[in-house]
Amino acid sequence: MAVIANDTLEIIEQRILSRLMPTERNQLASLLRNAILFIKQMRGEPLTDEEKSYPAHKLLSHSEHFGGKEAAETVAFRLHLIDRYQLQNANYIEQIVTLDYPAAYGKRFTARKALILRELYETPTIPKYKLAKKIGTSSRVITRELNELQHEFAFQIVTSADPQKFRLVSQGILFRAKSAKHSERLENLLSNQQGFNRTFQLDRDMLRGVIVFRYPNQQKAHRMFEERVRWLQDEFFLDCYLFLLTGFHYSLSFATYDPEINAFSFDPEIVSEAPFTYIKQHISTLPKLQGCDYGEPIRFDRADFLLAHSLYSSGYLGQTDFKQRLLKQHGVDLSKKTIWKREQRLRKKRVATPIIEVQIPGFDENISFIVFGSQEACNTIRGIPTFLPYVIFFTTDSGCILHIQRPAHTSALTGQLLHSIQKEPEVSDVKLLRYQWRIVSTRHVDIVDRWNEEEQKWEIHEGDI
Amino acid sequence: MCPYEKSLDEERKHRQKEFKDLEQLVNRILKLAQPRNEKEDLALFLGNVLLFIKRVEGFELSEDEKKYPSHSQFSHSTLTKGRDTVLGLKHRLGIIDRFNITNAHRIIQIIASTAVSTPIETLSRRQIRLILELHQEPLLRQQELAQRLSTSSTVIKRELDNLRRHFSFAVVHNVDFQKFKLLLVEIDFYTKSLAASERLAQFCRKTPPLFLRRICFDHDFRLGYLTYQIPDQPRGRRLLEDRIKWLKDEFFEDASKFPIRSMHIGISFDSYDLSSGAWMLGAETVAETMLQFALRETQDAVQFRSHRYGEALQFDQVDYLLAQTPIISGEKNRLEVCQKVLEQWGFELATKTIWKRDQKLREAGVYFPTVWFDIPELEELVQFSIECTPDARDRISRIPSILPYTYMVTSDDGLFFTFQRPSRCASITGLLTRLINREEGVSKVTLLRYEPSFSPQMFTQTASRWDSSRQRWVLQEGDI
Repeated sequence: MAVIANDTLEIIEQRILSRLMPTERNQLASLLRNAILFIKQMRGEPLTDEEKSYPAHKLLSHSEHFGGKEAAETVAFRLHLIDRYQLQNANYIEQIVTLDYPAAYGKRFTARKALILRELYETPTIPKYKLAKKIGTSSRVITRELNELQHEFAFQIVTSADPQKFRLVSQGILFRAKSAKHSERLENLLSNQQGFNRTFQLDRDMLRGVIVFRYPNQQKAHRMFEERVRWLQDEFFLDCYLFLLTGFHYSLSFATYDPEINAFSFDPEIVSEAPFTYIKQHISTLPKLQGCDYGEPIRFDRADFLLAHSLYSSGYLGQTDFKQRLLKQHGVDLSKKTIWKREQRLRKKRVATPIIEVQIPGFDENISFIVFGSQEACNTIRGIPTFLPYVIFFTTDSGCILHIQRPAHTSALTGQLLHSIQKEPEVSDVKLLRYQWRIVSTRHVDIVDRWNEEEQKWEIHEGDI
Repeated sequence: MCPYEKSLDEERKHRQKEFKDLEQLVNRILKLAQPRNEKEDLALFLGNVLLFIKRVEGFELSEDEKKYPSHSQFSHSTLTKGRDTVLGLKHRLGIIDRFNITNAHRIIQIIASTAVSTPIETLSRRQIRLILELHQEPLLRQQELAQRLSTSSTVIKRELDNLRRHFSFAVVHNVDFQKFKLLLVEIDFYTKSLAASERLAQFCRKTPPLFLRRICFDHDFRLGYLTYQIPDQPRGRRLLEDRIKWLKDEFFEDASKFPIRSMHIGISFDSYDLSSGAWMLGAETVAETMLQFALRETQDAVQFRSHRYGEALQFDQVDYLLAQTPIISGEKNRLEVCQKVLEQWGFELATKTIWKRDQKLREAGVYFPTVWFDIPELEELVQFSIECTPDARDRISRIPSILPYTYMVTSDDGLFFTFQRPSRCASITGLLTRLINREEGVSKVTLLRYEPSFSPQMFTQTASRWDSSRQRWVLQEGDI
């Protein structure tokens, strides 16, 4: 494992380029040259005049002094990796060379960032100047911190609309597939189908997974769903369990974030053993989760449906211009003022929940516990998120689902939490899933035109579910 | 007072108030701590913590405080870390108070275990070379290593000490059990229910069969495996078949049996980025590229060390007991340890005789030395059991060549490999499942994440069943 010398890098560059198709070679030549010049420069090697004037590449430029010696060595290492494993896909090569991976790896999640997220969690609609005042800093600092959060920790505010308010039900199927090949076939099938929304999530073992069907709360649709389940059972499943999602909640907590080690530090034993006693003793005083139980249907039109799905969203989804254009595409022409008024009305009706999405520092994997048990057991389990960094909690008609972003170096937590939940007297069964693949077949915009405003019902076609 | 001084003064007052609150919190922890006889030690420990915080916060210490005795696990006078350490300590004290942790030993553990060991351990270029050299030749002497790495023996010794301390590095001497007429068999299972898993664990704890070596469950406590070392005799195989049938009736929904023929250790630092200390396997594009390459290319420089289990030896109980006494590199008093073990079994041998016997075993190839270490950023151990054709097995067995540390065994009907997964690389497990499943000739892939396993029987327990004169194992009902 020696340091890769400059002349070896030149040979590597030639070898990588020689494996590519001519068109891709042109696409990558500039990137690779910039990468090598960058490494040379960081290593303190003199560049010739010709090299100095080499045109910059948009993704990696030798003339911009970002990173430093370490970043240069990382780029050198990646070039070696691409060569050694004879990678021939130009897009992959581009991604690997420019990937921000090691940088994000050690990014420090400051106490201020934690504070900002906590405030946003409490009040997602808080204006920047108020947020700045609360934290004791300037709006400019808040903007910078939010940008960093967005780029380094995938921060955004999204909207989770209450399906029941829009006469839709969310019916989940937890399944065990006949084989991994069956799972893969099912995945292909669902990703290519049109109709009402289906979310397909597969465990890393490729044998277990969950499909959530979101379809109209109408007799015909229920009948079609039942038929679909029978077909899936015959074709793909070894066994399956059905559950109805009845509420959505989530929690974001930095109580266990340790600034010294730049990571969430908690003893899995404390989190899995202590809480159940603790929760039962302090149930009335535990911090409340954000979210709501799904409510009664409302009277709505297509504009309401579209607006509800981006009611709190940040980024371009939250911009009124974008919303206006989107409505227009579906034949609804509204002024910005009307949109604003509509949104205020929808917020009052609590048709959606704002969610802070962020990848916690030191994130390792997503795990889900699908719990079958009594209401009482679920009320206790509902207290678990208080001790963990980021948790999504669904209530179902047969129990609940706990979805956790597990931080690194806490792998023992998975087994211990599972055993603790299993031991709860009112819990009849718990299934553990580690998701890796998630496919969402259709979005809300794809089904909006199926809403019949006059009859206040969804139009359903064959194969929709 | 100017506004700047005023704000400094306010901040100082605020910090003093915070410290008072912390003192109260510490008193609360001390008051509730159990058992009473450990309270004094805990008070000394927490006293050091408070003084450390006071020092970092810039509060003046009294003469008495300056002379406060150090605690063995935490001393206010030797730590020189800054405000981040203080924040970390406050955070941990908060957790102890909030979750009502009262065990004195545990309190010290929580604070001391992570208070000082903050930086993530990374490997240096030299340490990696050292590991790779020892991987190929585990019994290399320090002088030879120094020569190969163009450095001094002192440096090698220091690096090896560092590796032992931070990465549990050791040269482990695996034993070829087939040479002792034992056949290694793994039984993969999926239990009928959680209750069945509980009953199986109970059975293995309370009435463990003599030749059962290990039981291990996945996190979900349904999936798992049993490892048997059965006598390689017709009766042994028959008893195993009977046992599997019984296990299926009682506990298993599904089970498969694999006799193990060979073992392999693979070490690869290909995806370890020295400058950032990150494993690039966490990036899906990198992981997929490397996996595809490993499956496709036959002439890869695989850093494997392999051992195919060999023919049975002529041996007696002393040989068997000697082989079972673990040899870990650096263990100087092995001969004395062996002598004690043999004494327990009624054999009195001089250390010289033991040495000679041991040498004979080494020459017969009974031991297969390999290196063991915890990779930097180790998150969990993941095992893949794959049922497949011999062709597919040969292709798939190249995969571990790209994984950080892999232990692989092969059987006639497939292979298993266990690898150390680094943190932030969870997606590699899913990719592996997907790609292996796509390989032609693969009929089943099982993914298992280790929960702590347990070994119900000591290896030495079986020694009494060896009949040296007839060179065969004496089996009784319930042994398997």
